[in-house]
Amino acid sequence: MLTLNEVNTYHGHLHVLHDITFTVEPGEIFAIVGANGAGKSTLLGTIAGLYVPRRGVITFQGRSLPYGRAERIVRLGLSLVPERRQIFDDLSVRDNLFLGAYHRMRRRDPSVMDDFRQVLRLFPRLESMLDRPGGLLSGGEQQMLAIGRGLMARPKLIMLDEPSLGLAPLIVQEIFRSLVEMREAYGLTVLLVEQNVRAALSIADRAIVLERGRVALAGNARALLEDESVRRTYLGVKGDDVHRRRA
Amino acid sequence: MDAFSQLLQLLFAGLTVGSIYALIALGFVLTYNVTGILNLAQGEFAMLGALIAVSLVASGIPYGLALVGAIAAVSLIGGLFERLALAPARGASTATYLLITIGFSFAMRGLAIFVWGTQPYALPPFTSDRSFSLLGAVIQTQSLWAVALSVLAFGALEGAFNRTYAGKAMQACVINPVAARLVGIDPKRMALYTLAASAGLGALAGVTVAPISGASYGMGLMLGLKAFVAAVIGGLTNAPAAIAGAYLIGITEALVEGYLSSSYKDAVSFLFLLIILLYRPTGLFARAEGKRV
Ligand SMILES: Nc1ncnc2c1ncn2[C@@H]1O[C@H](COP(=O)(O)OP(=O)(O)OP(=O)(O)O)[C@@H](O)[C@H]1O
Ligand SMILES: [Mg+2]
Repeated sequence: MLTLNEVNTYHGHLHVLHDITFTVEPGEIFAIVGANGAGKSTLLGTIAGLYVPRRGVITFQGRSLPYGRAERIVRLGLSLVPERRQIFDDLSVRDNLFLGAYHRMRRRDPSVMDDFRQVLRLFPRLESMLDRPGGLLSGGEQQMLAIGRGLMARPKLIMLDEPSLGLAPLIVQEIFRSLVEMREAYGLTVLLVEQNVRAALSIADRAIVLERGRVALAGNARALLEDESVRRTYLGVKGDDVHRRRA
Repeated sequence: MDAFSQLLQLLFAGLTVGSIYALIALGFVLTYNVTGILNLAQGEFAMLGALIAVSLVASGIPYGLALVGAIAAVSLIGGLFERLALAPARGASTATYLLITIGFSFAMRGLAIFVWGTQPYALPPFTSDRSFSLLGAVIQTQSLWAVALSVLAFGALEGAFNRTYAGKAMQACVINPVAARLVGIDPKRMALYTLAASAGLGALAGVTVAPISGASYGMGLMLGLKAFVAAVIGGLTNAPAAIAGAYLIGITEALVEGYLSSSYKDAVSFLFLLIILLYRPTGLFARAEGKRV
Protein backbone atom coordinates (compact mmCIF):
# COMPACT_ATOMS: atom_id res chain seq x y z
CA MET A 1 0.00 0.00 0.00
CA LEU A 2 2.79 2.37 1.01
CA THR A 3 6.30 1.66 -0.19
CA LEU A 4 9.49 3.53 0.56
CA ASN A 5 12.53 2.77 -1.50
CA GLU A 6 15.92 4.11 -0.42
CA VAL A 7 14.49 7.36 0.87
CA ASN A 8 16.98 10.01 2.02
CA THR A 9 15.91 13.22 3.73
CA TYR A 10 18.04 16.14 4.87
CA HIS A 11 17.37 19.05 7.19
CA GLY A 12 19.64 21.61 5.58
CA HIS A 13 23.04 19.96 5.60
CA LEU A 14 22.02 17.41 8.19
CA HIS A 15 21.52 14.00 6.57
CA VAL A 16 18.70 12.61 8.73
CA LEU A 17 17.25 9.63 6.84
CA HIS A 18 19.58 7.14 5.15
CA ASP A 19 18.21 4.78 2.48
CA ILE A 20 14.96 3.98 4.25
CA THR A 21 13.20 1.05 2.62
CA PHE A 22 10.04 -0.70 3.79
CA THR A 23 6.51 -1.55 2.71
CA VAL A 24 3.28 -1.20 4.66
CA GLU A 25 0.59 -3.72 3.69
CA PRO A 26 -3.11 -2.80 3.58
CA GLY A 27 -4.93 -3.28 6.88
CA GLU A 28 -1.90 -3.73 9.08
CA ILE A 29 -0.63 -1.79 12.05
CA PHE A 30 2.97 -0.99 11.27
CA ALA A 31 5.16 0.43 14.02
CA ILE A 32 8.30 2.54 13.77
CA VAL A 33 10.27 2.70 16.98
CA GLY A 34 13.55 4.34 17.87
CA ALA A 35 15.31 6.67 20.27
CA ASN A 36 15.00 10.46 20.42
CA GLY A 37 16.43 12.02 17.31
CA ALA A 38 16.47 8.77 15.35
CA GLY A 39 14.47 10.47 12.59
CA LYS A 40 11.00 9.05 13.19
CA SER A 41 9.18 12.37 12.86
CA THR A 42 11.27 13.29 9.85
CA LEU A 43 10.24 10.00 8.26
CA LEU A 44 6.52 10.59 8.80
CA GLY A 45 6.95 14.22 7.73
CA THR A 46 8.61 13.09 4.52
CA ILE A 47 5.74 10.75 3.71
CA ALA A 48 3.11 13.38 4.62
CA GLY A 49 4.74 16.04 2.44
CA LEU A 50 6.21 18.36 5.06
CA TYR A 51 9.76 17.55 3.93
CA VAL A 52 11.02 16.71 0.47
CA PRO A 53 13.19 13.60 0.19
CA ARG A 54 16.43 14.31 -1.62
CA ARG A 55 16.68 10.80 -3.03
CA GLY A 56 14.46 7.76 -3.16
CA VAL A 57 10.91 6.90 -4.10
CA ILE A 58 7.72 6.83 -2.05
CA THR A 59 4.67 5.23 -3.64
CA PHE A 60 1.17 5.04 -2.25
CA GLN A 61 -1.25 2.62 -3.89
CA GLY A 62 1.15 2.24 -6.75
CA ARG A 63 1.57 5.93 -7.53
CA SER A 64 4.47 8.05 -6.50
CA LEU A 65 3.63 10.87 -4.08
CA PRO A 66 3.79 14.61 -4.85
CA TYR A 67 6.74 15.14 -2.51
CA GLY A 68 6.58 18.13 -0.23
CA ARG A 69 2.96 18.91 -1.06
CA ALA A 70 1.28 18.12 2.25
CA GLU A 71 -1.98 19.78 1.25
CA ARG A 72 -2.27 17.47 -1.77
CA ILE A 73 -1.06 14.28 -0.12
CA VAL A 74 -3.85 14.34 2.46
CA ARG A 75 -6.31 14.26 -0.44
CA LEU A 76 -4.83 10.96 -1.62
CA GLY A 77 -5.85 9.26 1.63
CA LEU A 78 -2.74 9.69 3.77
CA SER A 79 -3.36 11.48 7.03
CA LEU A 80 -0.70 12.48 9.58
CA VAL A 81 -1.59 13.04 13.23
CA PRO A 82 1.49 15.08 14.07
CA GLU A 83 3.81 15.01 17.04
CA ARG A 84 2.51 17.01 20.03
CA ARG A 85 -0.98 16.97 18.49
CA GLN A 86 -0.83 20.45 16.88
CA ILE A 87 -4.51 21.16 17.26
CA PHE A 88 -5.95 24.59 16.50
CA ASP A 89 -6.03 25.91 20.09
CA ASP A 90 -8.35 28.88 19.67
CA LEU A 91 -10.89 27.01 17.59
CA SER A 92 -13.60 24.83 19.08
CA VAL A 93 -13.41 21.05 19.15
CA ARG A 94 -16.16 20.97 16.53
CA ASP A 95 -14.27 23.35 14.24
CA ASN A 96 -11.08 21.35 14.68
CA LEU A 97 -12.88 18.18 13.62
CA PHE A 98 -14.60 19.73 10.61
CA LEU A 99 -11.36 21.37 9.48
CA GLY A 100 -9.95 17.84 9.38
CA ALA A 101 -12.35 17.25 6.50
CA TYR A 102 -11.25 20.41 4.68
CA HIS A 103 -10.75 18.93 1.24
CA ARG A 104 -14.08 17.14 1.43
CA MET A 105 -16.01 20.12 2.79
CA ARG A 106 -14.98 22.09 -0.25
CA ARG A 107 -16.63 19.42 -2.40
CA ARG A 108 -19.62 19.40 -0.03
CA ASP A 109 -19.19 15.68 0.54
CA PRO A 110 -22.32 14.57 2.45
CA SER A 111 -20.46 11.72 4.19
CA VAL A 112 -18.63 14.26 6.37
CA MET A 113 -21.51 14.22 8.87
CA ASP A 114 -21.36 10.41 9.09
CA ASP A 115 -17.66 10.54 9.81
CA PHE A 116 -18.22 13.24 12.44
CA ARG A 117 -20.67 10.95 14.25
CA GLN A 118 -18.33 8.02 13.93
CA VAL A 119 -15.43 9.97 15.45
CA LEU A 120 -17.66 10.87 18.40
CA ARG A 121 -18.54 7.19 18.77
CA LEU A 122 -14.85 6.34 18.84
CA PHE A 123 -14.06 9.12 21.35
CA PRO A 124 -17.30 9.70 23.28
CA ARG A 125 -15.76 12.19 25.67
CA LEU A 126 -15.27 14.71 22.87
CA GLU A 127 -19.03 14.94 22.48
CA SER A 128 -19.57 16.93 25.68
CA MET A 129 -16.84 19.45 24.78
CA LEU A 130 -17.66 20.24 21.16
CA ASP A 131 -17.92 23.98 21.80
CA ARG A 132 -14.84 24.28 23.98
CA PRO A 133 -11.64 25.73 22.47
CA GLY A 134 -9.33 22.85 21.62
CA GLY A 135 -6.51 24.44 23.59
CA LEU A 136 -8.42 24.01 26.84
CA LEU A 137 -8.64 20.22 26.58
CA SER A 138 -6.45 17.92 28.63
CA GLY A 139 -3.49 16.25 26.94
CA GLY A 140 -5.38 13.00 26.46
CA GLU A 141 -8.44 14.74 25.08
CA GLN A 142 -6.27 16.77 22.73
CA GLN A 143 -4.72 13.57 21.44
CA MET A 144 -8.16 12.12 20.81
CA LEU A 145 -9.11 15.33 19.05
CA ALA A 146 -5.97 15.18 16.92
CA ILE A 147 -6.70 11.60 15.92
CA GLY A 148 -10.34 12.48 15.30
CA ARG A 149 -9.26 15.36 13.08
CA GLY A 150 -7.00 12.99 11.19
CA LEU A 151 -9.88 10.55 10.69
CA MET A 152 -12.16 13.30 9.37
CA ALA A 153 -9.99 13.41 6.25
CA ARG A 154 -11.26 9.84 5.66
CA PRO A 155 -7.75 8.45 5.14
CA LYS A 156 -6.87 5.02 3.85
CA LEU A 157 -3.69 5.13 5.86
CA ILE A 158 -3.32 7.10 9.06
CA MET A 159 0.07 7.98 10.50
CA LEU A 160 0.42 8.75 14.19
CA ASP A 161 3.50 10.40 15.66
CA GLU A 162 3.91 9.46 19.32
CA PRO A 163 0.27 9.51 20.39
CA SER A 164 1.27 8.36 23.89
CA LEU A 165 3.56 11.35 24.49
CA GLY A 166 3.06 12.75 27.99
CA LEU A 167 -0.08 10.76 28.72
CA ALA A 168 -0.98 8.61 31.72
CA PRO A 169 -0.87 4.84 31.13
CA LEU A 170 -4.66 4.49 31.33
CA ILE A 171 -5.23 7.08 28.60
CA VAL A 172 -2.51 5.50 26.49
CA GLN A 173 -4.36 2.19 26.76
CA GLU A 174 -7.60 3.87 25.74
CA ILE A 175 -5.97 5.50 22.74
CA PHE A 176 -4.20 2.34 21.64
CA ARG A 177 -7.46 0.45 21.94
CA SER A 178 -9.03 3.05 19.66
CA LEU A 179 -6.29 2.44 17.08
CA VAL A 180 -7.15 -1.25 16.96
CA GLU A 181 -10.84 -0.33 16.80
CA MET A 182 -10.17 2.09 13.94
CA ARG A 183 -8.55 -0.64 11.95
CA GLU A 184 -11.53 -2.95 12.53
CA ALA A 185 -14.21 -0.31 11.97
CA TYR A 186 -12.77 1.59 9.01
CA GLY A 187 -10.47 -1.02 7.50
CA LEU A 188 -7.70 1.50 8.06
CA THR A 189 -4.02 0.92 7.74
CA VAL A 190 -2.05 2.39 10.63
CA LEU A 191 1.53 3.63 10.66
CA LEU A 192 2.49 4.21 14.26
CA VAL A 193 5.58 5.99 15.57
CA GLU A 194 6.22 5.40 19.24
CA GLN A 195 8.79 5.69 21.98
CA ASN A 196 6.58 3.54 24.14
CA VAL A 197 8.10 0.52 22.43
CA ARG A 198 6.40 -2.16 24.47
CA ALA A 199 2.92 -0.74 23.89
CA ALA A 200 3.55 -0.16 20.19
CA LEU A 201 4.99 -3.62 19.51
CA SER A 202 2.18 -5.32 21.37
CA ILE A 203 -0.53 -3.91 19.09
CA ALA A 204 1.49 -3.80 15.85
CA ASP A 205 1.68 -6.54 13.23
CA ARG A 206 5.09 -5.58 11.92
CA ALA A 207 7.67 -3.00 12.88
CA ILE A 208 11.00 -1.44 12.09
CA VAL A 209 13.57 -0.09 14.50
CA LEU A 210 15.14 3.18 13.41
CA GLU A 211 18.65 4.01 14.63
CA ARG A 212 20.33 7.25 13.65
CA GLY A 213 18.25 7.47 10.52
CA ARG A 214 18.74 3.88 9.36
CA VAL A 215 16.53 0.83 9.51
CA ALA A 216 18.40 -1.23 12.10
CA LEU A 217 15.87 -4.05 12.49
CA ALA A 218 12.69 -5.04 10.72
CA GLY A 219 10.20 -7.81 11.14
CA ASN A 220 7.25 -9.26 12.91
CA ALA A 221 6.31 -7.13 15.95
CA ARG A 222 6.01 -10.18 18.24
CA ALA A 223 9.46 -11.32 17.24
CA LEU A 224 10.94 -7.85 17.81
CA LEU A 225 9.37 -7.78 21.25
CA GLU A 226 11.37 -10.94 22.02
CA ASP A 227 14.53 -9.72 20.32
CA GLU A 228 17.37 -9.44 22.77
CA SER A 229 18.86 -6.19 21.49
CA VAL A 230 15.43 -4.56 21.36
CA ARG A 231 14.74 -5.70 24.89
CA ARG A 232 18.06 -4.37 26.10
CA THR A 233 17.95 -1.03 24.32
CA TYR A 234 14.27 -0.11 24.30
CA LEU A 235 12.54 -2.14 26.96
CA GLY A 236 15.06 -1.61 29.74
CA VAL A 237 15.58 -5.30 30.23
CA LYS A 238 19.14 -6.26 31.19
CA GLY A 239 20.96 -9.03 29.35
CA ASP A 240 20.91 -11.52 32.22
CA ASP A 241 17.20 -10.84 32.81
CA VAL A 242 16.61 -12.08 29.32
CA HIS A 243 18.59 -15.22 30.01
CA ARG A 244 16.79 -15.85 33.24
CA ARG A 245 13.42 -15.61 31.56
CA ARG A 246 14.52 -17.85 28.78
CA ALA A 247 15.87 -20.42 31.19
CA MET B 1 -18.34 79.03 16.74
CA ASP B 2 -18.00 78.50 20.46
CA ALA B 3 -15.25 76.41 22.05
CA PHE B 4 -17.44 73.37 22.48
CA SER B 5 -18.65 73.35 18.88
CA GLN B 6 -15.11 73.78 17.70
CA LEU B 7 -13.95 70.82 19.76
CA LEU B 8 -16.84 68.74 18.44
CA GLN B 9 -15.97 69.78 14.91
CA LEU B 10 -12.37 68.74 15.38
CA LEU B 11 -13.29 65.46 17.02
CA PHE B 12 -15.54 64.57 14.13
CA ALA B 13 -12.93 65.52 11.57
CA GLY B 14 -10.49 63.31 13.46
CA LEU B 15 -12.93 60.44 13.57
CA THR B 16 -13.46 60.72 9.82
CA VAL B 17 -9.83 60.60 8.86
CA GLY B 18 -9.27 58.00 11.59
CA SER B 19 -11.84 55.80 9.86
CA ILE B 20 -9.85 55.99 6.65
CA TYR B 21 -6.69 55.02 8.49
CA ALA B 22 -8.64 52.24 10.17
CA LEU B 23 -9.70 50.68 6.87
CA ILE B 24 -6.12 50.65 5.62
CA ALA B 25 -4.81 49.45 8.99
CA LEU B 26 -7.25 46.53 8.86
CA GLY B 27 -5.57 45.47 5.64
CA PHE B 28 -2.16 45.68 7.31
CA VAL B 29 -3.29 43.49 10.20
CA LEU B 30 -5.04 41.00 7.94
CA THR B 31 -2.02 40.56 5.71
CA TYR B 32 0.37 40.39 8.63
CA ASN B 33 -1.69 37.83 10.51
CA VAL B 34 -2.13 35.44 7.64
CA THR B 35 1.17 35.82 5.79
CA GLY B 36 3.54 37.38 8.32
CA ILE B 37 4.35 40.06 5.76
CA LEU B 38 4.36 43.79 6.55
CA ASN B 39 2.92 45.21 3.37
CA LEU B 40 4.19 48.78 3.18
CA ALA B 41 2.38 49.21 -0.12
CA GLN B 42 -0.98 49.05 1.65
CA GLY B 43 -1.53 52.80 1.23
CA GLU B 44 -1.05 52.56 -2.53
CA PHE B 45 -4.16 50.40 -2.76
CA ALA B 46 -6.11 53.41 -1.46
CA MET B 47 -4.53 55.63 -4.09
CA LEU B 48 -5.25 53.15 -6.88
CA GLY B 49 -8.83 52.68 -5.71
CA ALA B 50 -9.47 56.43 -5.69
CA LEU B 51 -7.90 57.12 -9.09
CA ILE B 52 -9.47 54.12 -10.82
CA ALA B 53 -12.85 55.22 -9.43
CA VAL B 54 -12.24 58.72 -10.79
CA SER B 55 -11.50 57.32 -14.25
CA LEU B 56 -14.43 54.93 -14.22
CA VAL B 57 -16.82 57.70 -13.21
CA ALA B 58 -15.34 59.93 -15.93
CA SER B 59 -15.88 57.18 -18.51
CA GLY B 60 -19.61 57.35 -17.82
CA ILE B 61 -20.10 54.15 -15.85
CA PRO B 62 -22.87 54.54 -13.23
CA TYR B 63 -21.41 55.92 -10.02
CA GLY B 64 -22.09 52.96 -7.70
CA LEU B 65 -20.82 50.50 -10.28
CA ALA B 66 -17.68 52.59 -10.72
CA LEU B 67 -16.92 52.40 -7.01
CA VAL B 68 -17.47 48.64 -6.88
CA GLY B 69 -15.47 48.20 -10.07
CA ALA B 70 -12.56 50.20 -8.67
CA ILE B 71 -12.50 48.10 -5.49
CA ALA B 72 -12.67 44.87 -7.52
CA ALA B 73 -9.89 46.04 -9.83
CA VAL B 74 -7.62 46.87 -6.90
CA SER B 75 -8.37 43.48 -5.29
CA LEU B 76 -7.22 41.92 -8.53
CA ILE B 77 -4.05 44.02 -8.44
CA GLY B 78 -3.47 42.87 -4.85
CA GLY B 79 -3.90 39.25 -5.91
CA LEU B 80 -1.51 39.69 -8.84
CA PHE B 81 1.00 41.36 -6.54
CA GLU B 82 0.86 38.29 -4.27
CA ARG B 83 1.21 35.82 -7.14
CA LEU B 84 3.90 37.64 -9.10
CA ALA B 85 5.99 39.27 -6.38
CA LEU B 86 5.36 37.76 -2.95
CA ALA B 87 4.73 34.08 -3.71
CA PRO B 88 7.93 33.59 -5.73
CA ALA B 89 9.92 34.93 -2.73
CA ARG B 90 8.51 32.27 -0.41
CA GLY B 91 10.76 31.65 2.57
CA ALA B 92 12.60 34.95 2.16
CA SER B 93 13.56 37.06 5.17
CA THR B 94 11.31 39.74 6.64
CA ALA B 95 13.65 42.39 5.26
CA THR B 96 13.38 40.99 1.74
CA TYR B 97 9.60 41.06 1.91
CA LEU B 98 9.72 44.64 3.21
CA LEU B 99 11.87 45.63 0.24
CA ILE B 100 9.50 43.91 -2.17
CA THR B 101 6.51 45.80 -0.78
CA ILE B 102 8.41 49.10 -0.80
CA GLY B 103 9.45 48.42 -4.38
CA PHE B 104 5.86 47.69 -5.30
CA SER B 105 4.67 50.95 -3.76
CA PHE B 106 7.23 52.91 -5.79
CA ALA B 107 6.14 51.05 -8.90
CA MET B 108 2.47 51.83 -8.26
CA ARG B 109 3.18 55.52 -7.69
CA GLY B 110 5.20 55.61 -10.88
CA LEU B 111 2.41 53.88 -12.76
CA ALA B 112 -0.09 56.37 -11.33
CA ILE B 113 1.96 59.35 -12.52
CA PHE B 114 2.15 57.73 -15.93
CA VAL B 115 -1.60 57.14 -16.17
CA TRP B 116 -3.09 60.04 -14.23
CA GLY B 117 -0.29 62.60 -14.02
CA THR B 118 0.47 64.58 -10.89
CA GLN B 119 -2.65 66.73 -10.70
CA PRO B 120 -5.33 66.06 -8.08
CA TYR B 121 -8.79 64.81 -9.05
CA ALA B 122 -12.15 65.13 -7.35
CA LEU B 123 -14.69 62.39 -6.80
CA PRO B 124 -18.33 63.17 -6.00
CA PRO B 125 -19.50 62.10 -2.53
CA PHE B 126 -21.36 58.77 -2.18
CA THR B 127 -24.82 60.13 -1.57
CA SER B 128 -25.09 63.90 -1.24
CA ASP B 129 -22.78 66.80 -0.72
CA ARG B 130 -25.07 68.22 1.88
CA SER B 131 -23.78 68.80 5.35
CA PHE B 132 -25.75 69.25 8.51
CA SER B 133 -25.03 70.79 11.82
CA LEU B 134 -24.85 69.03 15.13
CA LEU B 135 -24.55 71.13 18.29
CA GLY B 136 -22.93 73.88 16.27
CA ALA B 137 -20.50 71.63 14.38
CA VAL B 138 -20.82 71.11 10.62
CA ILE B 139 -20.73 67.50 9.52
CA GLN B 140 -20.56 66.26 5.95
CA THR B 141 -22.56 63.25 4.88
CA GLN B 142 -19.43 61.67 3.42
CA SER B 143 -17.86 61.74 6.89
CA LEU B 144 -20.72 59.64 8.20
CA TRP B 145 -20.06 57.17 5.40
CA ALA B 146 -16.41 56.96 6.38
CA VAL B 147 -17.17 56.19 10.00
CA ALA B 148 -19.95 53.75 9.14
CA LEU B 149 -17.84 51.89 6.58
CA SER B 150 -14.91 51.45 8.93
CA VAL B 151 -17.19 49.92 11.53
CA LEU B 152 -18.99 47.81 8.93
CA ALA B 153 -15.78 46.56 7.36
CA PHE B 154 -14.50 45.51 10.73
CA GLY B 155 -17.76 43.75 11.56
CA ALA B 156 -17.86 41.98 8.22
CA LEU B 157 -14.26 40.85 8.57
CA GLU B 158 -14.79 39.64 12.11
CA GLY B 159 -17.95 37.80 11.05
CA ALA B 160 -16.27 36.20 8.06
CA PHE B 161 -13.41 35.01 10.22
CA ASN B 162 -15.41 33.67 13.11
CA ARG B 163 -18.61 32.44 11.55
CA THR B 164 -17.76 30.95 8.17
CA TYR B 165 -15.97 27.72 7.38
CA ALA B 166 -13.55 29.49 5.03
CA GLY B 167 -12.81 32.01 7.78
CA LYS B 168 -12.03 29.23 10.20
CA ALA B 169 -9.72 27.63 7.68
CA MET B 170 -7.97 31.00 7.44
CA GLN B 171 -7.70 31.14 11.24
CA ALA B 172 -6.34 27.60 11.28
CA CYS B 173 -3.66 28.76 8.88
CA VAL B 174 -2.73 31.57 11.28
CA ILE B 175 -2.84 29.42 14.44
CA ASN B 176 -0.83 26.51 13.08
CA PRO B 177 0.26 26.60 9.45
CA VAL B 178 1.79 23.11 9.52
CA ALA B 179 -1.32 21.49 10.94
CA ALA B 180 -3.37 23.48 8.42
CA ARG B 181 -1.37 22.02 5.55
CA LEU B 182 -1.82 18.55 6.99
CA VAL B 183 -5.61 18.86 6.75
CA GLY B 184 -5.33 20.13 3.18
CA ILE B 185 -5.47 23.90 3.57
CA ASP B 186 -3.09 25.54 1.14
CA PRO B 187 -1.42 28.53 2.83
CA LYS B 188 -0.44 29.92 -0.57
CA ARG B 189 -4.06 30.12 -1.62
CA MET B 190 -4.90 31.76 1.70
CA ALA B 191 -2.14 34.31 1.12
CA LEU B 192 -3.66 35.10 -2.28
CA TYR B 193 -7.15 35.65 -0.84
CA THR B 194 -5.69 37.72 1.96
CA LEU B 195 -3.79 40.09 -0.31
CA ALA B 196 -6.85 40.49 -2.51
CA ALA B 197 -9.02 41.29 0.52
CA SER B 198 -6.47 43.68 2.03
CA ALA B 199 -6.15 45.47 -1.29
CA GLY B 200 -9.95 45.73 -1.45
CA LEU B 201 -10.02 47.31 2.02
CA GLY B 202 -7.38 49.79 0.93
CA ALA B 203 -9.38 50.65 -2.18
CA LEU B 204 -12.50 51.12 -0.07
CA ALA B 205 -10.53 53.62 2.04
CA GLY B 206 -9.40 55.36 -1.14
CA VAL B 207 -12.84 55.80 -2.69
CA THR B 208 -14.21 56.94 0.68
CA VAL B 209 -11.57 59.59 1.29
CA ALA B 210 -11.41 60.89 -2.29
CA PRO B 211 -14.69 62.89 -2.04
CA ILE B 212 -13.33 64.53 1.13
CA SER B 213 -9.73 65.33 0.26
CA GLY B 214 -9.35 64.49 -3.42
CA ALA B 215 -7.36 61.85 -5.26
CA SER B 216 -3.80 62.05 -6.50
CA TYR B 217 -0.86 59.77 -7.20
CA GLY B 218 0.88 60.67 -3.94
CA MET B 219 -2.01 60.23 -1.51
CA GLY B 220 -1.11 56.64 -0.64
CA LEU B 221 2.18 57.42 1.01
CA MET B 222 0.90 59.40 3.99
CA LEU B 223 -2.28 57.33 4.33
CA GLY B 224 -0.22 54.17 4.34
CA LEU B 225 2.31 55.43 6.84
CA LYS B 226 -0.33 56.60 9.28
CA ALA B 227 -2.31 53.39 8.97
CA PHE B 228 0.93 51.54 9.54
CA VAL B 229 1.51 53.44 12.77
CA ALA B 230 -2.06 52.64 13.80
CA ALA B 231 -1.43 48.95 13.13
CA VAL B 232 1.79 49.13 15.15
CA ILE B 233 -0.12 50.73 18.03
CA GLY B 234 -2.32 47.65 17.89
CA GLY B 235 0.68 45.35 17.97
CA LEU B 236 0.20 44.51 14.27
CA THR B 237 -1.94 41.45 14.98
CA ASN B 238 -4.91 42.84 16.82
CA ALA B 239 -7.61 44.33 14.57
CA PRO B 240 -9.73 46.15 17.21
CA ALA B 241 -6.60 47.68 18.73
CA ALA B 242 -5.40 48.79 15.30
CA ILE B 243 -8.75 50.50 14.72
CA ALA B 244 -8.51 52.20 18.09
CA GLY B 245 -5.00 53.27 17.12
CA ALA B 246 -6.32 54.70 13.85
CA TYR B 247 -8.99 56.76 15.62
CA LEU B 248 -6.43 57.91 18.16
CA ILE B 249 -4.09 59.16 15.43
CA GLY B 250 -6.90 60.76 13.44
CA ILE B 251 -8.30 62.62 16.44
CA THR B 252 -4.90 63.72 17.72
CA GLU B 253 -4.01 65.04 14.28
CA ALA B 254 -7.25 67.00 14.09
CA LEU B 255 -6.72 68.52 17.54
CA VAL B 256 -3.13 69.46 16.74
CA GLU B 257 -4.23 70.99 13.47
CA GLY B 258 -7.06 72.92 15.10
CA TYR B 259 -5.33 74.16 18.23
CA LEU B 260 -1.67 74.37 17.19
CA SER B 261 -0.86 74.43 13.51
CA SER B 262 -1.56 72.28 10.52
CA SER B 263 2.15 72.06 9.83
CA TYR B 264 2.56 69.82 12.91
CA LYS B 265 -0.23 67.50 11.85
CA ASP B 266 1.86 64.94 10.02
CA ALA B 267 4.34 64.78 12.88
CA VAL B 268 1.70 63.30 15.18
CA SER B 269 1.88 59.77 13.89
CA PHE B 270 5.66 59.80 13.83
CA LEU B 271 5.67 60.95 17.41
CA PHE B 272 3.41 58.05 18.27
CA LEU B 273 5.70 55.67 16.43
CA LEU B 274 8.72 57.02 18.30
CA ILE B 275 6.99 56.63 21.65
CA ILE B 276 5.96 53.08 20.85
CA LEU B 277 9.38 52.08 19.64
CA LEU B 278 10.96 53.54 22.77
CA TYR B 279 8.63 52.17 25.40
CA ARG B 280 6.69 49.28 23.96
CA PRO B 281 8.50 47.47 21.20
CA THR B 282 5.53 45.10 20.89
CA GLY B 283 2.87 47.78 20.44
CA LEU B 284 0.72 49.89 22.70
CA PHE B 285 -2.37 47.76 23.03
CA ALA B 286 -0.85 44.42 22.13
CA ARG B 287 -1.89 41.61 24.39
CA ALA B 288 1.03 39.33 25.00
CA GLU B 289 -0.77 36.16 23.99
CA GLY B 290 -3.83 37.69 22.36
CA LYS B 291 -5.79 36.26 19.47
CA ARG B 292 -4.31 37.22 16.18
CA VAL B 293 -7.44 37.80 14.19
N1 LIG C 1 12.94 21.06 11.01
C1 LIG C 1 14.18 20.62 11.32
N2 LIG C 1 15.26 21.37 11.00
C2 LIG C 1 16.52 20.95 11.30
N3 LIG C 1 16.80 19.80 11.92
C3 LIG C 1 15.77 19.01 12.28
C4 LIG C 1 14.41 19.39 12.00
N4 LIG C 1 13.60 18.42 12.46
C5 LIG C 1 14.41 17.48 13.00
N5 LIG C 1 15.71 17.83 12.89
C6 LIG C 1 16.86 17.02 13.32
O1 LIG C 1 16.76 15.78 12.67
C7 LIG C 1 17.06 14.72 13.54
C8 LIG C 1 15.88 13.77 13.62
O2 LIG C 1 14.81 14.43 14.23
P1 LIG C 1 13.36 13.80 14.35
O3 LIG C 1 12.47 14.81 14.95
O4 LIG C 1 12.97 13.24 13.05
O5 LIG C 1 13.63 12.62 15.38
P2 LIG C 1 12.58 11.73 16.19
O6 LIG C 1 13.01 10.33 16.01
O7 LIG C 1 11.21 12.07 15.81
O8 LIG C 1 12.87 12.19 17.68
P3 LIG C 1 11.84 12.27 18.91
O9 LIG C 1 11.66 10.87 19.39
O10 LIG C 1 12.57 13.10 19.92
O11 LIG C 1 10.59 12.90 18.44
C9 LIG C 1 17.42 15.37 14.87
O12 LIG C 1 18.82 15.44 14.93
C10 LIG C 1 16.81 16.72 14.80
O13 LIG C 1 17.58 17.64 15.54
MG1 LIG D 1 9.64 12.86 16.78
